[in-house]
Amino acid sequence: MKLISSACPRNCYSTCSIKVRVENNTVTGIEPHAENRATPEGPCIKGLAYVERANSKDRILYPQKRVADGKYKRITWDEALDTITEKLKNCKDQFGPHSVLYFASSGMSGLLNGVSTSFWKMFGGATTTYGNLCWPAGLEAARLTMGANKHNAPWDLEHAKLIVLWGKNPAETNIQEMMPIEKAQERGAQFVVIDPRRTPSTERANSLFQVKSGTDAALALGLAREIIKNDWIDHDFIAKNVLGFEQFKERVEVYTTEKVSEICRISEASIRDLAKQIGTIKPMTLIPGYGMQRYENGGQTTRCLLALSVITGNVGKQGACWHYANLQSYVFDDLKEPESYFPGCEHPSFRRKISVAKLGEDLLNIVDPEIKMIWVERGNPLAQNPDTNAIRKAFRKADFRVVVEQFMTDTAYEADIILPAKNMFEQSDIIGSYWNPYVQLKQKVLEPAGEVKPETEIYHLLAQRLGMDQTEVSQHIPEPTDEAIEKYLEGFLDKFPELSLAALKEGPQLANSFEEIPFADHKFPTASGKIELYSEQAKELWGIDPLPDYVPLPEQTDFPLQMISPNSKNRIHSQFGNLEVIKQFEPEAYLFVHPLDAEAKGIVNMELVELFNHQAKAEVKVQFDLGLRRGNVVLTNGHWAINGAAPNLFTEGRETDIGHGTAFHNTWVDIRRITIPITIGKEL
Amino acid sequence: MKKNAFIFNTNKCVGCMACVAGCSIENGTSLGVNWREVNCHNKIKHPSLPVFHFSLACNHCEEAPCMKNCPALAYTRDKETGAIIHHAEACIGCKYCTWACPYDAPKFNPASSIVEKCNFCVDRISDGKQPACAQACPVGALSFGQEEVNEENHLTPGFVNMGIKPSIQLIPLREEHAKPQIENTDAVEIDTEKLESYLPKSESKVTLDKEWTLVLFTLAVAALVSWQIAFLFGKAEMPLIPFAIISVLAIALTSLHIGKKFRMWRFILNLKGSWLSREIFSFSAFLGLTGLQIITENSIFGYGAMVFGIFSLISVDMVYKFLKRKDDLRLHSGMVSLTAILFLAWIGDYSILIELSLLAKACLYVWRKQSLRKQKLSYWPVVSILRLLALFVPFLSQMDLGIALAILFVGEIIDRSEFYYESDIITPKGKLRKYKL
Repeated sequence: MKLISSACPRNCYSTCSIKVRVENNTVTGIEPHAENRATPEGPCIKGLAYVERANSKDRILYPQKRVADGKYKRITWDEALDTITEKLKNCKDQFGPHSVLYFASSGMSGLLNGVSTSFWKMFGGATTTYGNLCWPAGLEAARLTMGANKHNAPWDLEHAKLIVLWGKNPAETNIQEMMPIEKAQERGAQFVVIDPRRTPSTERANSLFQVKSGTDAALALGLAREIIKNDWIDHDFIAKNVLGFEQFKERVEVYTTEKVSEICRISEASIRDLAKQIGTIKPMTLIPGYGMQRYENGGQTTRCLLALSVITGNVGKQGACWHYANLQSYVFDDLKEPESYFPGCEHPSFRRKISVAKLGEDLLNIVDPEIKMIWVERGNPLAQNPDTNAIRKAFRKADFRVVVEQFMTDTAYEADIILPAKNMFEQSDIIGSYWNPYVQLKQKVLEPAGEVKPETEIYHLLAQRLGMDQTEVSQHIPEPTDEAIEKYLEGFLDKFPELSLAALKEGPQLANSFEEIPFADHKFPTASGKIELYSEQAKELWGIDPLPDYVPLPEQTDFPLQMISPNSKNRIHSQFGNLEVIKQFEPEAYLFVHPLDAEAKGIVNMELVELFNHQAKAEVKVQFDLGLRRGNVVLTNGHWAINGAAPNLFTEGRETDIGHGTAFHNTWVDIRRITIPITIGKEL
Repeated sequence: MKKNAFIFNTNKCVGCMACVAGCSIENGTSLGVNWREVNCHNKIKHPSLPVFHFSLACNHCEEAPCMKNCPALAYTRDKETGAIIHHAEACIGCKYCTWACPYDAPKFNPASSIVEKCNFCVDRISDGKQPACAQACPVGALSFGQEEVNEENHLTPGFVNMGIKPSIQLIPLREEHAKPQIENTDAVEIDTEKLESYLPKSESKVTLDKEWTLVLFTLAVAALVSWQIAFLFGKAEMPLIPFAIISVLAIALTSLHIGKKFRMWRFILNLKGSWLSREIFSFSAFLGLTGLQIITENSIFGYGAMVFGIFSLISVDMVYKFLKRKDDLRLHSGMVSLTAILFLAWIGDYSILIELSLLAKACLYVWRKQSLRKQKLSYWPVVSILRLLALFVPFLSQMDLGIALAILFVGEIIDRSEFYYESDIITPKGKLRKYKL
């Protein structure tokens, strides 16, 4: 039995350090790794589920070829790679390299993912995507305002006297954050939550402000007005560090408590009470989630929220910060998020880009050349990008599709050839985190199962077959040996003497640049060097108001229920939901509906109903939820459409106001009782 | 005194299920047979009640009812760690422990036909490690250690407190977590009755479709014992063949109820502690002695049989003492002792006894239904009328004894079936359901 230090490479705040128990070349247990101060008690249920994920009988272990719709047959690597090589050559010769779409997503993080990009560069380029499904509106809002995205160390939260959790549900999505929250509460801190839902996180709060979804900005501006009116602002901090306070003060003037109460649907007294707490309790940590910026107005909303931290001087102090994203561990990136998401910032061979938010639409419309071949790795766009039906149509319009996958996902079922993907235990890689500050080694603990080959090896073999220049290949694609991989990784570490591979093999490490309390020096890397409440750049880059503002979502008449698709504890996006250990707690997708909304349509608890809007319809079981605001329904993120209802059947391909994010929550639907049987997931 | 105990902090648990998964992975349990469960209070999120959880497995109680009541002596206590250990090879799969334990710790596994449960990860804790569930908790809500257990905390509303000294240090919700303050001007008051209708139906652990064999078996005990007594006092005939057939059927019925039929002999190992052992032992002795009585025509065997028969009736009623009655009554028209008296009165034609037992049964039955009605619990008036008719019709009309007994027996089946239907086991889930602020 061996216990090997590793880390979870999923697209998740926590990025837990773990110890992997290995017996007879099999993963038999996942144990806590106390050296990570942010995740000392170990991972969540998904982390524990790796035992099943690694050993699952459903895992794809051999290359597969489609023989009929939904039917696949095992083929040899030679056959798979020869077929792919021929298709690639044909595409390049006949239509140019940009007739190939290279689509990669956040399924597994790591520096080795750069090998994929290098390959496609050497191929002569490919069509790629810009933007991001998750958090760019908020990232860009914070970047425009403060110049960088970093926050206090997760454990600093216990020093806060007021914790404002705004549209985040850490109990399910960042479970270890509940520990410093509880510690702060034990020391007498106030904990308030703003969320249209009652969640496991709100249960710990002193109060929950159940605002109408999408109106967060109005609340923030109303609070700012109260705080300014009562002179609870930090004059000294503002004078020294803030640009545009006077204009902002004018802006908030119209957001009276009366008006805000009408917009957000919470009482005036409660707004005044919250303003008093934010204005007078110090230090305050404001924790905005990624959910509340997944609206069309997400960027402006985030700027409004951030203004509350700014005017009360809750920046760069112990227990006080804007706790949105902490990119401190991304030390190897030349260009950090969100700028790396923007088109135009990359290698010329990738200049042709399509929006990740509008993947289906863009793929269908792009010409000269049209997309002939699609390559997908580390992603499941049919489940995760908006408007599944459009994406499926676009995928089927192409001539040939390759998907690198571990399991038969919605996207894998679209493939002509499926290549078996490595799992996190089969190749070492270095990862960062956007919450905890550690650089970590996700360590190889066993040999790949079956005939699995890591992407680096797949690209190595393809490069040979395509006859790419040997010297160039040897520079950018490591040989398929453990030594070559380690050497490749050490190449990144050269610039950081404090980070050795040997130390990373033992546990999480901090880079020298780590600041426990960033912005303590009041240096803000913006154009003016100050916190910019007024941002010229916001106007120039995105055409939005240079001041934060509340931009109402469009009025809805056709479909009355606003659907939000938050993440749940049982999945990271579309991963993990297929495992038995998870399925026992959530065997199928449920649509959470307020009982009164359901009863108005004669629907009873646990009834199978039809969920529909202008894009799709699907059957789903209703579960009553008295913790929801009326008018909101919830279908959690990450369900697979092959199993029935999945949120992205209903979401529109729409970008956020700034940052090229995705406005998932700009989604309206309706439900009705089922009278005649319908086919799941079909277009109207 | 310090002892090994789980420490559960209600303020920290968010219901993430990692403890359940950690346990099942470490112990390799079958899917759906989880030794640990996270019991959620107010899953539907009633606006004036908090949502909180109790993560519970076996509490390795000092006065462990599973161990005390197991007829097969399948449970022992590990002296070093205090762990209550269930021995698979000794278990007969009678599920009696799943009734006896108020924490719902023993789990019957249909695949193996026996019970299994949390063993405190006895090997791990002996090695100085944490149990798998405690190690798996990502927020430190569940831990394990040598504790001076504060039993006052077991009085926390919603927690099952039976005074059996469970090894769990329960840290209750702090005040600020106990009452949600929710701001929403669109919130609508929903009346309590409507709210109740939204709650999922609670699942009873004792259901008629699972326990019908026990209905017939227990009534067979009553019938055979009363018949034998009447026979002993010369009031009835008891030919060997029909007696033997009914006896074999009765035994077959019990065996249907247990998982491991070849280990049935283990049923009688715990005469000292288990009423179930006593029931099976005394009933077996009754059958044997009655057989001898019929064959040898020696009344000494008959008296012996009668003693064991009466004791088996008492045992049967004692076996069901854990059941939580919806009507909260101790005395019952469905008790087999009463049924046996009724049968004896009729078979022996003791008219005073007929009247007394009829009256007693009818009164108890009506009382029970009234009590259910007061609690607004469902019962079926038509069934109740049938049941009462089956009691009175043979008395009020002149009919052949055979027919009279058949009608009486149908009445008893109804009564006894309702007895099972209206009974349940105390469980953490049930307790949390009842908890209101």
